[in-house]
Amino acid sequence: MAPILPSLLAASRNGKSSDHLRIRGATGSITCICRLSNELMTLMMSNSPGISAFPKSDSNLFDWVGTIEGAPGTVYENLSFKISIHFPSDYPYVAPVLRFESPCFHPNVDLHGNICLDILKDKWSAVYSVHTILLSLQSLLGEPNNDSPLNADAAELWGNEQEFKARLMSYYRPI
Amino acid sequence: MNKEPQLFPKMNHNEMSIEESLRTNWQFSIEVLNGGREDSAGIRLLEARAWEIACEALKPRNIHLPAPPPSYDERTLQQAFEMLKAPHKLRPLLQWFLDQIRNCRYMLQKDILEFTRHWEETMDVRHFRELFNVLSEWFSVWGKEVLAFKKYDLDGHFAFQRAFRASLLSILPPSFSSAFTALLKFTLVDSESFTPPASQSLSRSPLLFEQINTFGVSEDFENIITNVLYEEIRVRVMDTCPGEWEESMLPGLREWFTQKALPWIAGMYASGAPNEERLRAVLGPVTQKFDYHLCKMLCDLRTNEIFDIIVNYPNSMSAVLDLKECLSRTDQRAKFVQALRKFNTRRLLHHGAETSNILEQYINTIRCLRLLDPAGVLLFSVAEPIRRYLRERPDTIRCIVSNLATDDGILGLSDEKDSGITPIRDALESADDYSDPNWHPEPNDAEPGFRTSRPTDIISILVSIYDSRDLFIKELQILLGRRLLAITDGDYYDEMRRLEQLKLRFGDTQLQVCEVMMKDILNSVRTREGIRELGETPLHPTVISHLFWPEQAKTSLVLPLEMKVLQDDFATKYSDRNPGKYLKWIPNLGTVELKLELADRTVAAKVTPLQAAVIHHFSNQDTWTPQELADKLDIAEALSITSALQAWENLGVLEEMPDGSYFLLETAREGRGAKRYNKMVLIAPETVGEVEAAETAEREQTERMRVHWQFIKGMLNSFGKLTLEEIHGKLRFFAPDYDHTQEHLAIFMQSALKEGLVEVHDGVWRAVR
Repeated sequence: MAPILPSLLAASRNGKSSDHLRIRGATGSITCICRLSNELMTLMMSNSPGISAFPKSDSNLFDWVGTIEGAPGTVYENLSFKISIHFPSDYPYVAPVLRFESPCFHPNVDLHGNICLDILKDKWSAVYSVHTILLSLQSLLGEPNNDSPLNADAAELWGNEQEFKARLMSYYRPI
Repeated sequence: MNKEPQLFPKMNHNEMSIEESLRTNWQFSIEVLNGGREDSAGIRLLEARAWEIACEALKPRNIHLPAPPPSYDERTLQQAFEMLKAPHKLRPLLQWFLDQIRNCRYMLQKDILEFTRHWEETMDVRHFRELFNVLSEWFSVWGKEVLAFKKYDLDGHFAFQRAFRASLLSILPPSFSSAFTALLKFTLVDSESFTPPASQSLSRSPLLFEQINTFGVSEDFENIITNVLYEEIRVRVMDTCPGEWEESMLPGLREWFTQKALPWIAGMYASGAPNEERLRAVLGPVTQKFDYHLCKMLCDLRTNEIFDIIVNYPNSMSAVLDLKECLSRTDQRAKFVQALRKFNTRRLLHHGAETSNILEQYINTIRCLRLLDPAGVLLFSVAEPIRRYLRERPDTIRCIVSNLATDDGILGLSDEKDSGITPIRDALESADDYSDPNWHPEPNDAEPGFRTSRPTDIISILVSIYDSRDLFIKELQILLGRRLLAITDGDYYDEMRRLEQLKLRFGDTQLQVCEVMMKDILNSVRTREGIRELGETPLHPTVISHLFWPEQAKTSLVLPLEMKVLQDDFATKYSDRNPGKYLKWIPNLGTVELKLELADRTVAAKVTPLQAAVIHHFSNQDTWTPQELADKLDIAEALSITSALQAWENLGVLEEMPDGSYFLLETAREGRGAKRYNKMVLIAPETVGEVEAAETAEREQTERMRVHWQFIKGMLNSFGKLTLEEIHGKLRFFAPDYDHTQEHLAIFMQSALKEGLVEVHDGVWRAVR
């Protein structure tokens, strides 16, 4: 059983926040809620460095915020980016939508923060989880797919580390 | 009649007394009245005379006075009876006689009162016994007269007996029944233990019962008699049975009853029985009644002792079997359950009892009650409170598991070996099989939740205390990990065998993790050998996969540089052999065998890494304070340093200086430890971390706190910064088992702040990156 569901139910049983159940009913199925709370638990316990995410508000499990740090040894080292994750109500059968909320200069990220990552598009499978998505995203930072760039400038500059770093830093906003 | 009848014949005063003449005149008058015919009034007058004679003869006499000479000879008496017979006057005569008996009861009363008073004063039952002889005499003297009626086909005996009984009962004093009880008890007990020669004749109970039967009062005294016997059975049970659990008492009691008590009551109920068979037939129902009482008494006694009987099981098995028979005969099951539950609450389920004791008692209860009631209804009713209580105890699982994994634990796995190891069945998964042709309804005194199809082997029962088996598996892993790491001689056979047994019980999949742990250990042996081929190393590491092993207590212990070099060397070789795998050392686990070469002696010891690291520092500098060492070794708590120093001091290697620092004794100090010890010394390694000693509850608490910390860290990382309220709210909402107050959280965050994990500005918390 997902650890969060009992606390959700318990909260509503105590009458403290009786609207949680309603919200759940309105936006998603119980399996979806279970799944998401399970994933939250896994993510929290995974202890993976450089990635984190958490539900944005108490009443909504479908919108998360998180941070991603660049992996050591890449041009993104020591930089961290804010991201948002939106889960559709038929998650996990449909991929979640991820966006960079802070500017990120990257071949596969457009100027609005949209991300081009195969597992979030056609390669999506229900076996992926928030944890694996965030890990993929982290590795995407260091190893972009320059064949299908969203940001052509970045893709061109990728070969030139110095210049790329300079451009990157001109965009970068520390959080 | 025309002429004046001559009423009075002439009298000769000289020849006859006045009475005689009156009588003659009377006779004459009668004849005149009857007019020569033999009937009517004249006859009646004759009858009156005969009545008078009979009465005189029948009148009850006081036996204490000398018998008066018979007032009439036999013939006259007989004539009188003959005369009374014709006009059917015998029956009224008998009635008159019986009335007389009633009227004369005061004579009896005097005797009875006297004997009773004597008993009250002396309590001498032997004297009181005489009363019945006296009564007997009264009975026979008075009753003799009734025989006269027999000749005339009028059996007065029964009527007489009734009259005598009525008189007797009406005059018994209040204390009679207690006196009589005492007498009966005496006759019953006397025959076995108390036989003074003088009392032999009088205590012969058959005679007493015969007498009582003769008086026709046996039914009236039946209550007293049975009460005496009931009491005697109770005394017998109480005298012989308490605490005697190792042999079956019931047959002995029944034997006693048949040998002693049965003949006694036989005198009462079946004195006239012609032969053994008839006797038994008559006594059958009576025997049943007393046998019931016997069982009930024993049952009550054993019910009161049941707690201790269970404690002493299986030595007390005979008592349990006795109780089983008694329960089946007396139907005291509800009372039994109530009693046992009460005992359990009072003596077992409180803070003073250790969990292992409670478990042991529970297991014994299971075994006992299963013997007592194979259907399990009793067990179900008794076990529920125990199970509920055990569920609340923090260390129950640990206790069960540690017993599960040892051969000689309280579970006594060996005694179930006969039946083979059965897989643990889930209490919830067994449903009634409706197609079972041998299906029986639940026993009629079963409680609502009772199921016949519940698992019956003890381990299943214990595991089913908890709804989930995962807790057991987790605890098993911890235990297995600890035990595997404790083995240093490479003999893992026992652990493997145990693991196989547990796999039979819990199933392969559940114990997969344990399987991996076992494999790790065995692989370690191979790894060590493989790496030794590449070059000699004094290290014997055990390589464990951190994903599968329970968290090992880690302390930051800085090992000496030499050690570090060896470790790194080993780690590199390991990574070469196993690409993609890296070793992470847990410096505080394991043992170190070392040899200290001092100026005058060599000390060999087997110590913990901490102790080894401590002594290592003395090779460069011979005086250290505990604090210096703590800094050097990066150990937070100085206490473990001190204990390590003391261990060396005990070996005579170090000496504590007055200022609290320790000094290395290059040459053995006179009278110091070295002499007391042999060359090879083993310092008992400190128990592998105090963490183990900590209760499961604490561990769970820390574990939960750890989970909460992960959530706090996760949310701080995700949001960047949060206030305490926000953290508290999110934890309450998303973290499992979070039930702390915000104040509690504030304390927790403060300690995290102290450790430098978080920072706070104006009430806004951030994670330290």
